[in-house]
Formats: sequence, C-alpha cells, structure tokens
Amino acid sequence: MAMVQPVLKPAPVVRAGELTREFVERYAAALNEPAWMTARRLEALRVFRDTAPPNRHDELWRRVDLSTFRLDLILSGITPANTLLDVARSELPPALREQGVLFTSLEAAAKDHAPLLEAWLMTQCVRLSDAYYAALHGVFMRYGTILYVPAGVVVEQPLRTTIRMAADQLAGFYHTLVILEEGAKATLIEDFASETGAHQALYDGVVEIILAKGAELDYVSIQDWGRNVYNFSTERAKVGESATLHWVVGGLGSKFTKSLIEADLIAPHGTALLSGVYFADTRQQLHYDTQQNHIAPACKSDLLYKAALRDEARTVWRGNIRVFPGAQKTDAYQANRNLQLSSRSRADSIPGLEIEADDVRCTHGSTVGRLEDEPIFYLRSRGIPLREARRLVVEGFFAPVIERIPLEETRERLLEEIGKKID
Amino acid sequence: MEAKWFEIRDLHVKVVDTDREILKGLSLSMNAGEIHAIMGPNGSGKSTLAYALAGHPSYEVTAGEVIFKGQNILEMEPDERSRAGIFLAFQYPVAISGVTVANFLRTAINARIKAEAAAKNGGTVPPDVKGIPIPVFTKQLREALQLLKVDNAFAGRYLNDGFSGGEKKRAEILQMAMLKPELAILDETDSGLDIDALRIVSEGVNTIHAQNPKMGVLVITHYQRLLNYIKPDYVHVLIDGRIVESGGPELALHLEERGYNWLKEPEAEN
Repeated sequence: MAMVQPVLKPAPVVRAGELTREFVERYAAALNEPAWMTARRLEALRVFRDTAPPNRHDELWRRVDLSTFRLDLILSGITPANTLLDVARSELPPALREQGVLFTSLEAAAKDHAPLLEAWLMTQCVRLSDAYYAALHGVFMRYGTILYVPAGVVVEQPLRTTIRMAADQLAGFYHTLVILEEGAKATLIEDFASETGAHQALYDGVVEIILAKGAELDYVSIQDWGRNVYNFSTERAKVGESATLHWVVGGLGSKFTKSLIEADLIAPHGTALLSGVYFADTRQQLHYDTQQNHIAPACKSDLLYKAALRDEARTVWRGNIRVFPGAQKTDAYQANRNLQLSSRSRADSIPGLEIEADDVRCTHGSTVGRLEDEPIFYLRSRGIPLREARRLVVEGFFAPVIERIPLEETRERLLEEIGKKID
Repeated sequence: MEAKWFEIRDLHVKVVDTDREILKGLSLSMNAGEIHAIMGPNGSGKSTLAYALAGHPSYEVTAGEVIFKGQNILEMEPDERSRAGIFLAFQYPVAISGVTVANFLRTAINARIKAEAAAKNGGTVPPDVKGIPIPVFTKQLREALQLLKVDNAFAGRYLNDGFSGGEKKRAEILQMAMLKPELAILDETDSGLDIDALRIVSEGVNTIHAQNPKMGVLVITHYQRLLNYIKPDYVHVLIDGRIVESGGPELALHLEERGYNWLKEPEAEN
C-alpha cells in the first residue's frame, strides 16, 4: 500500500474502499485520544469499507448528482491539520455544572467521561451502519457538542455553539450528542458556517439526540457553509415517553447538502415537532430526507419543511411517516412547502406514508408555488418598493417556521441571511 | 392647459394581452379636499379605473393621462404612486401570509422615509437614515386601531390572512389612517359589510378626512348606500367606460330611485 503523502503535496488518490487502517491510525495518533476512541474509529472503518457508496439506483440517492464531487481526492488528503474547526461554546453556569450538567467537546468527553461516551457514541441512536456518510463520520469524527443533562435538571438559558470552518480546510466531522435524562429540559442552538474556499471541501456531521421520559429539548441547527462544501449529515432523535422535541433545521449555504433526519418515537405520548427552513440559490442543491418513525403508540409528530428557491437551484424533500405495528393512536402530520422565485429552479417534494397500524391519524401535504403577482402588487400599492415587497412575501412564507426558533437573535440572523439571498 | 389638482384625461385602458378595452376615454377632475363619487353598474369599468390608477400590471393604459399635482402618474411604478400620496382601498384586499399588520405598516412607512431621504441625496438612501421610531409608530398604530374599533391584537395578525370581509375593509382604512394619503380611492369599500361595519368604516374615512381636510377622496361604488355615510361633493356616473353624467349629491339619490338604464345609450335600451 502506498504511503500517504504529507499535506499540501499532491497525494495518490485513495478510493473510498481503500482507506487503510494505517491511515486512520496515523490520523488518530495525532489527536492524542484514548485507545477506545481509536478502536471505535477502526470499527467505523470496517463498516465504511463494507458499505456500498451512494449510487443512483438507490432510491435515497436517485435525485442526487454528485458527478463533480471528488470524495476520493478529499479522503486521500485528510489529516488532523486540515480537518480543523473553530468552535465557540456558551459558558455553562457553575450551578448547572455542580448539578452534573455536561456541556463540552467530543475530545474532552472522550477523556473525562469515557463511560458515558462509550455507551452512547454511535451505538444506540445513529449507528455506523445507518448510512455511508455516518460510517465515514465515525472514522474521522472530531470536535463536537456533548450535552448531558441529569434527571430533573432544567437548563433555562439557551446553550449555543458556533462552528466555523476556515475556507482552506479540506473536511469537517463535527459530532453532536445530546442526552436529556428524565424530566430534564434544555435548548441548544448550533450555528455552522464557513467562507467559500477555492477547493472542494467535505462536511460530514452526525447529530444524536436522546430524550428520556418527560424530557424537553429545543434544538436548532443552521448551516451556512461556503459554496465549496459538500455537506452530509446523519441526524436522529430518540424521543422517550411523554418527551417533547422541537427541532428546527436551517439550510442556507453549501454547494450540495444531503441531510438524513429521523425522529424515532420510542415510547408512548412522545411529541416531535420538526421544522425546516432552507433557501437555495445559484446552482445549490439541498436535499432533506426526513423520517418520522412511530414505534410506540399515542405519539404525535408534526413536520413542516419550507423551501425557497431561485436561479437554477434545486431542492428535494423526501419525507416518510412510518407507523409500526401496534403504534395505535398515532397522530402524524407532514408538510413541505416550496416557493419558487425562478422558473429555472426545481423543487421536488416526495411525501410518503407507511402505516402498519389501524387506529391512526396521518396526513400530509406538499406544494410547489410561485411568487404570485397579487401580493407583490398589493404591497407595492402601499409604497413598498419591488425588492422589499418580494423580501416581505418570502419572509412571510418562512415566518411560521422561523417563529418556532426560541432565540430572537437566531431568528433575526436567519431573516437577515434570507434577505440577502433575495437581493 | 393648466391641469387641476387631480385630473384624468381621456383615459383608455384595456386588459393586458387582450383587445378588450374597458375604459374608453374617461375624463374627470378634482380639487384637493373634495369628495367625488363614481357610480356605475356592473361591468362599467369601476374597478378597472381603480386598478389602473394604482398601476396594476394586468391593465394597460393605451391612451390618455392622469395628472396628480402636475405629474403624470401613469409613468410611475405602483409604489412610487403610493409614495406620491395616492392610496387605493382594495375591493378585495390580498392576504400576505406570515407578515403581521404591524410589520407591514412599519415597512410601508419606512419605505416613505427612505424614499424621501434618497430623493434629497441624489437617489441613494443615506446610511444614517433610520425608520420611524418604535414609540411613535406604536402610538400612531394604537390611535388607528381605536379609530377602526379593533383591539390591539389585530396588529399582530397576519395581514388579511383569515380576516372576515369586515376585518379586511377595516384593515384597508387602518392603512389609510397610517399612511395619510393625499388622494384616497375607495373601491367598493361597502361591499360585504354589514351595517355596523359600514358605519365604522365610513366614520373612519370621515375622521381621517376631517383630520386632513386637503385629502381628496374618490369613492367608487355600485350602490348609493355608502354615500349616506360618506357625503360626496360631486357624483359621476360611469357607463361603458365613460363618464356619462356628473352632478351634485342629488344625482346619487336619483340613481337609487331610477337605476342606471335611463342614462344608457338609446340603442342599448332597444
């Protein structure tokens, strides 16, 4: 096997299936991590090498054009030096720390809270075998948010992380793991962004959310990656008995995004409110695959994903509600609304229902519409110039989702970015 | 010829992409502060006139001019006409989902402030221009809400979204109160209103007119009913795209009694 070249020199192309143990061990060694963590990477490598890469015969990847994406080149160049992220995390009040709340990085948790992490890291929520990019993430995962809230503890103030990738970085593998024990409450807002770099970059993230009985989580993640980033994520929440999850996903940046987002309702009376707001322009491609899995009876899930598109952008939403046998009294809803600002853009909206119980209420709706003339004229007739009238209508389109974001600052930032995209 | 304060001269309007001419040489003039009513049967061109004056993209002016304070407004964009002081209360107000009444009004007022500042600054908005201060806006909005007898929660609702017919018309006059136009055009404002709502809306218009006595009002209506509440100085009858008769308020009563047929072309009656 050829030696891997140092960074910045042209490296031999490594086909995904040829990633070696030595390569991964060298990467891990430089991170100075516990042995169990490296062992986990090598296990991920084994799964990754056994997983078929995405191909267009697979329904999940059928609408995806990745012909220009050079994953092989990126993989051959991965080193600890070019997978850096700059992470800022809000300060956890000391009183909460004393109560056992943990809000830290993957690295720190791997050292200081090994039993917790060993038990949960890609073992019970997102699994290595879930997706090609989940396995790849397992090989190289680095940085991350580990939020653990013990039973009965309420974290009032929203916790925030900002994750920045420099324009010249090759890849990022951030890992979010949130565990709320019985009756715990928290809000987490994560904000991912980078400036556009000259070369293709990979972001491959995983989000794992575990809510025990009666726990309540508000989780918001917004990505505004540079237009050189191919963004993949595998995200899953396990919602326990009478637990409540409010989950908002915002998509602004990247050249290409493929996000797999699942909520598993695993015990009775759980609630998952899933919201998405994304805006694609130029030739951006944003793909969201959502799955509402009603495994236990008497749970509620409500999904609303809204997209705006302009120029030659493309969005695809594939949503599925699955009601497992015995999940009676399920109340599930999904809707995807698309607003096309240009006739050259294309929005695909593919709802799906798989129902294996008989006493359920499941509904779905999807629409693709244009910016209509009448509202624009009406606003202009009040003195509002054309550009601002368009902005107001688009903001209004997104408002029902943006209003679900619990932090005003985040709402404002999102509206500002949407405003910039319209102009 | 010196134009009046507001003057429509020989206006011809057709529906875009058709040959269907709806206004066929309409002329009318008004002085500041006057209230004029245009009455006419269905299909005479009343709403076309309202939309054409506001610059609706579905209507094309093929001839004529509309002079407002010395400017031909037909050369202006719809938003420029509004900022120049012309306001159309729509017969069918449009729902703007996700945009609250308050947010919309503040945007409309700030658009005026920015445009004025830009006009004094060679066309670009100076960076230090701020919008209307929130306390000033809030006070004005509260007064306007009281005028139209709607509670404060109304301002937080999405504009016209799920509004009843009466709420939509109140929202139109609320906007008029906030935007303080110089010329208000009311297109069938009485349609779909019960008697109580009609009274509130009319009193709203009358109060705004009393506060701004220079404001001209052009009331477009099929029925005389609204004119019991908003008293016109002049009444014009629009039939088949032209003004066929003009007179004082008594003309409206006459039309109420006798209908429109006596004014139609003789051959139309045969």
